[in-house]
Amino acid sequence: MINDQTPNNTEEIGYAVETRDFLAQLDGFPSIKINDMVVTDQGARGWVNSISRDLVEVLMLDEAKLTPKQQFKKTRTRLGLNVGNFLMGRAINPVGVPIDGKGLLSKTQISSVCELEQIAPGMESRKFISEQFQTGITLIDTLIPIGKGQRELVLGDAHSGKTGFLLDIIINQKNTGVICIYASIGKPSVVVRNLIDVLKSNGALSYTIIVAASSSEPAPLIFLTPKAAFTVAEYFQKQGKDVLLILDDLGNHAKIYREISLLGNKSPGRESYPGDIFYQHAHLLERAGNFLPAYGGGSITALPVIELNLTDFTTLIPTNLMSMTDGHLLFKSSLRSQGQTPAIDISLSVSRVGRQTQDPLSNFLSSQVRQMLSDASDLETVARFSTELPQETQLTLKRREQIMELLKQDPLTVTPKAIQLIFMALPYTSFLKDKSKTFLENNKRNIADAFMKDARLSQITKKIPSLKTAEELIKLLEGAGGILEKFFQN
Amino acid sequence: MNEAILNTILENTYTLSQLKRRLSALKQLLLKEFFKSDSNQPAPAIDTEWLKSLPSEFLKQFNKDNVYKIFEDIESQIIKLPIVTIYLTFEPDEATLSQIGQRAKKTFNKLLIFDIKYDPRLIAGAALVCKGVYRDYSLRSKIEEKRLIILNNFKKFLK
Repeated sequence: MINDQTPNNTEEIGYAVETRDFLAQLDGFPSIKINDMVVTDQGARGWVNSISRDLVEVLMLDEAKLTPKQQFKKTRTRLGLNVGNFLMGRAINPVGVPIDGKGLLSKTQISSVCELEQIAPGMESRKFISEQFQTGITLIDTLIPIGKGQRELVLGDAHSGKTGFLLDIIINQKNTGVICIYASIGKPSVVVRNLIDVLKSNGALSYTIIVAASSSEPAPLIFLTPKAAFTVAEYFQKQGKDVLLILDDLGNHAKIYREISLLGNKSPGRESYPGDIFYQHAHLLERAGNFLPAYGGGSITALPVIELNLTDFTTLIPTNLMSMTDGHLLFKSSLRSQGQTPAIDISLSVSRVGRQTQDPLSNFLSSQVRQMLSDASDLETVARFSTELPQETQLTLKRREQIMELLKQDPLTVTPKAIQLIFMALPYTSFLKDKSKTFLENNKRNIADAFMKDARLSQITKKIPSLKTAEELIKLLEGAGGILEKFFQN
Repeated sequence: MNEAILNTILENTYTLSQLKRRLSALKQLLLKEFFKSDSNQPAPAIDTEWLKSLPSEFLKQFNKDNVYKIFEDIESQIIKLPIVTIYLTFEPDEATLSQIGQRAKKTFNKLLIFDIKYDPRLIAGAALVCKGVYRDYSLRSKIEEKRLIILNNFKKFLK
C-alpha cells in the first residue's frame, strides 16, 4: 500500500498523551532516539529527553500551549548548534539564535552543525597540563595558578565580586589568542545585556562568545546552556586554540535540572535533586581539558561558578563540583567589604594542577610567600596576647601585611607576569623594610610603572625570565633599592 | 470470551469514534437491562439499528456479575488495536466508511480500526499514519514535490 511512494512523503509522528508545563509524553515515533528534535504544527520545538517502553518524553524549547492528542513531527535535525568563527563577538541562545540584536549570524563563512550532547574525549586524547593560564591577576597567577585545560571552581556568596573577577580575566586575555566563552545560565536578561556592554567597552567582545538563556526562558533551554557553550568551546579547541569557558552558574543549572526531573517523576534525592545530578555535572566538566594534537591540540579551561548561601560550601552541589574540579577559588563578601579585591580567601582556595605549570622562579617565590602567609597566620594569634614581639615575628607580620596589599588589584587592571614576581619579591628587600602599608597603598601602581618605564629598573624587569631562583630576584631587587628610593623621593 | 465479544463488535465497526460510541450504547443498554438504570441520553438512532442487529447469543454472554469487568477488559484491549489514522479534507459518510473499512479489514487485518481526522490543508487526497509513521498521499505533498516545476510554469505567464 505504501511502498510505491517516495521517502519524501514519509515522516515519523507522535501524539501528545500527557503534558505537564514544558514536558510532554508522546506516543508514536517508532525509531526516535534521545536528542532528536520534534516540532508541533505551530512550529514549537521540543527535544527528546528520555524514552520509555511506550512513551517518548519531550522537553519543549519554545513556549507552546499543548493540547491532548496534539501531533508532533520528527525533524531531520538533531539537537545541535551551528558553529563557526562567525560566532566571535556574538551572543546566542543555546540553540544558536542570536540574542544581541545584531541581526542574523553570518552565513558567508563555513559553518558546521555540532550536536550539543557529546561524550567527553577519553584518556588517550589528553595531554599533561604544562602551560600556565595567565589571568593577569597577581593573586591567581602567583599563589593559586591555573593551568591551560584545568577546571577551577569559582565559588562564593552573593556580592563577593565573582562576576567582576571573571570579566577581568576575559578582558586580560586581549592579544593572547585565547577564545573566551561565557555561558550565562538562568540569569536575568539585564545581566546579560550589562555583560555584553562591559566586554564591548573594554574591547573584549571581539574574542568572546556569549551563550545565554535568561531566567524568563523555558527551563529546558536554560538546562542546555552549558552544553551549548561546551559545544562551541570544542569547535575552537579542535582548531588548536586555547579556550576559556566560564559557566555562570552551575547552581542555577542544578536547580533547573531538579525542576525538570521532578516534573518528569524522577525520584528526588538529597536536597530534592535527582540521583543523576552528579553525573550531569561530571559528564559536562569532563569535556574540558588539554588535548593532544591528534585531537585538535587546543585546550578548554573551564571555570564553573556557583553562588553559595551564606558562605556554606558544605551543601550538595558545591561539594559535588569541588570533587569533580581541579581546585577552587573561594570568594567572600566579608573580604570584599574589607577592601580586598579579588576577595579570595587564600587559605581556603586551592589549585591542584596549576603549580605544575609554573616556571621554577614563580614556583619558588610562590612557595616562599605561601609559607610566610601561613607562618604569619600562626603568629597572629600569639601577637594578640603579647605587647612586645620579637623582631623576627614583627617582620613576618609586616611582610604579610605588605604582600596582602600588593595582592590587591583594582578591577579592570592587568598586572604583567614580571611585575607580579617583583611584587612577590619586594617585601623581602630592604626597600620595603621601613615602608608602611599606606606607602604601598598609594604607590603600588607607581612601583609597577617604574619597573615598566624607568630605563634602569626596566633592565631588571627584562632579566626576570632568565632567573632561576627567588634569591636571584631578591638580590637583583636589593641592588635596585637605591634607584627605587630616589624614584620615590622625587 | 472478551476477545470474542470484541471481535463481534469489530465485524462491522470501522472507526475509533464509532467503536467508542457503540460500546457506550451497548453498555447503556445492558446496564438498563440488568440494573434498571434510567439513562437520560438515548442511544443515537444509528447505533440503535446496530444494537438491534446484534445476535441474541451475543447479548446472553453478559450478566449482572460480569458486565463491568467485560467492558473494563474491552477498553484496555482497544488501546492495543492496530489503529490507522486517516487525514482527510472532508467528513466521510457511514456508507463510505463502511466501504473503506470492509476493504481494509479484508486486505490487512480484521481488527484494524481507522481514526478519521479532518485536515483541510491537504487540499485533496489523504494522509495516513500507522505505527507512528506518517505518509502523505495528498495533493499538497504532490505540489510540494513539484513546487519548482509549477513555479517555473507560472513564471512563463509573467511578463
